[in-house]
This record gives sequence, structure tokens and C-alpha cells, in this order.
Amino acid sequence: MLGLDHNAAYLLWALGITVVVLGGYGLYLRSRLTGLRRRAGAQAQTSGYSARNVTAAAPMVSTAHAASSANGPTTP
Amino acid sequence: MTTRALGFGSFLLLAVAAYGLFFIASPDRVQGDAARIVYFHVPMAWVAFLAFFIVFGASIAFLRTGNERWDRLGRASAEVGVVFTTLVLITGSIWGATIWGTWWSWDPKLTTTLILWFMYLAYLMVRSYAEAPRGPRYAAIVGIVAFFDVPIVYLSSYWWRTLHPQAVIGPLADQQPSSSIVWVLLLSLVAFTVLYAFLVRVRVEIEQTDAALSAARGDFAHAGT
Repeated sequence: MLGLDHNAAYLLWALGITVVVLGGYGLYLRSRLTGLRRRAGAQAQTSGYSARNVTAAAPMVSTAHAASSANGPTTP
Repeated sequence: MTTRALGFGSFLLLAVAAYGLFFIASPDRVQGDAARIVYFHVPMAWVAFLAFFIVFGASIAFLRTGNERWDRLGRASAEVGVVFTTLVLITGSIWGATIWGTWWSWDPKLTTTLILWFMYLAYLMVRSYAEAPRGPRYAAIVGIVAFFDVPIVYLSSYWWRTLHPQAVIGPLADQQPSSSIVWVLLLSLVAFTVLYAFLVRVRVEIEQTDAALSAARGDFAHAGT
């Protein structure tokens, strides 16, 4: 049963340090993992956009080239 | 088992162990409530030994296979083991202040534990600062050599004259403690082991995500050139 004596301050101090260190370390790992996942998500999104832009830009460039060509439009 | 389940399980088990620490385990006749420190000091020491054993095994596996998965596991386990060893040194020092009247003594058990802590700090430094592919290999060698200090720490209280109490439970224990002491100690041991598994799993996930990000960055830079 709980009935703490004069050494209880040391016990609570040791327990408190353990909880703070392990809790702090757990939070540090969690924030680091969340940050890395966010960066990975952002990177995947960026590479997806750039891939789409490259695909979308290709016909525009060829159309512009055809319109500004000295030979005029290539379509009949 | 998912990471979330491990985290929840460790939290629940630690709460039950804390209940046992205050309400089931009775205070020692000589040491009073300071003896309750043993219920988390000893399990954390065991978990630190387990962590360094995993580093030892992972280091051997990495040197034999060259698989980066073993390197990630070794690094994660070493970091968690160093956190637990730090807490073992701190809580042991607080216990010593109440019972021995001093915060630190150059006792064989304490000194070999401090050497163990320094050796795994060296492992983490080598792993962080040495460039790949040499860094992981050098760290693995340190991880294997450092483990030889673990049995020395455990047996130091039998080999040399020491202030540190001898084993409470286990094959080398010289007396049988009461069942309430054994149960609370075993419960605490299980709780800290599950917590260790949770922390290592999260730490390995960090390593994996970081490696995937670096690989993707490398591919992106390669595609851009």
C-alpha cells in the first residue's frame, strides 16, 4: 500500500527523470518521423507535378513552333 | 503487430507496472522507499543489455551480408540502448545518494557501465560522422567489440569487491525474494521490453524513410543532369 517515507523524494525524482527522458525521446522520434513523412509526401507531389508539366508542355511547344514557322501551319 | 499497437501496449503495461511499484511492492525494511527505484532501474539495465545484444547480432549480420537493413536495426537499437543506459546511470546515482550517501563511486559495476555508455556513444558517433560505405562497417566493428563489456558489467559484482548489490532475480541471485517483488519486477521488465520494441521500430522507420528520401533526391538530381 502507498505510504511513502523520507526517501520518497528521491524515488519520485528518479521516476520523474525517467518519465521525462523517455517521454521526450518518444516525442522527438515522433516529430522526426512526421517531418520526414511530410517531406517524402511533398517530394512525391512535386515530382508528380513536374512529370505532368513535362507531358503537358510537349504538345504546346510543338504547336507554337508550327505556328511561328516560316512555312506556315503544317496542318492542311 | 503495428507500431501504434506496440506504443499503446507499452503505455498500458508501464501504467500497470507503475501501479505495482506504488501499491503492490512493499518498501524495504532497511532502504525504505528508495528500494522502489530498483523496480525500474533493473529492468532498464536489462533492456539496455538486450539492445546492445541486438546491436551485436545486427553488426555481425551486416558484416556478413552487407544488407543495409541490419545496419539500420543496429543503429536504432544502439541509440535506444544509450538512452536506457543513461537512465540506468542517473537512477542508480539517485539510489546511491540515498543509500551510500554519495552520488558516484568508482565501483567496478558503475565504472564498467560508464565505459559501456561511452563505447556505444562512440558507435553512434562513428556511424554518424564516417562516410558510407566505410561508416556502417566501422560502426559494426565497434558494435561487436563493445558488446564484450556487457558480461563484464553483469559479472563485475561477483568478480570484484563492490558496493553494488548482487542480482535480485536470475541464475546468479543468492537469495529468493518475495513473490510480490518478483511479480512487480517481471511486469516492469515486460513493460520496458515492449517499450524498447516500440522505440526501435519507430527509429527504424525513421531510417527507412530517410533512406528512401535520399534515394529519391539522388534519382531526381540524376534525372535533372
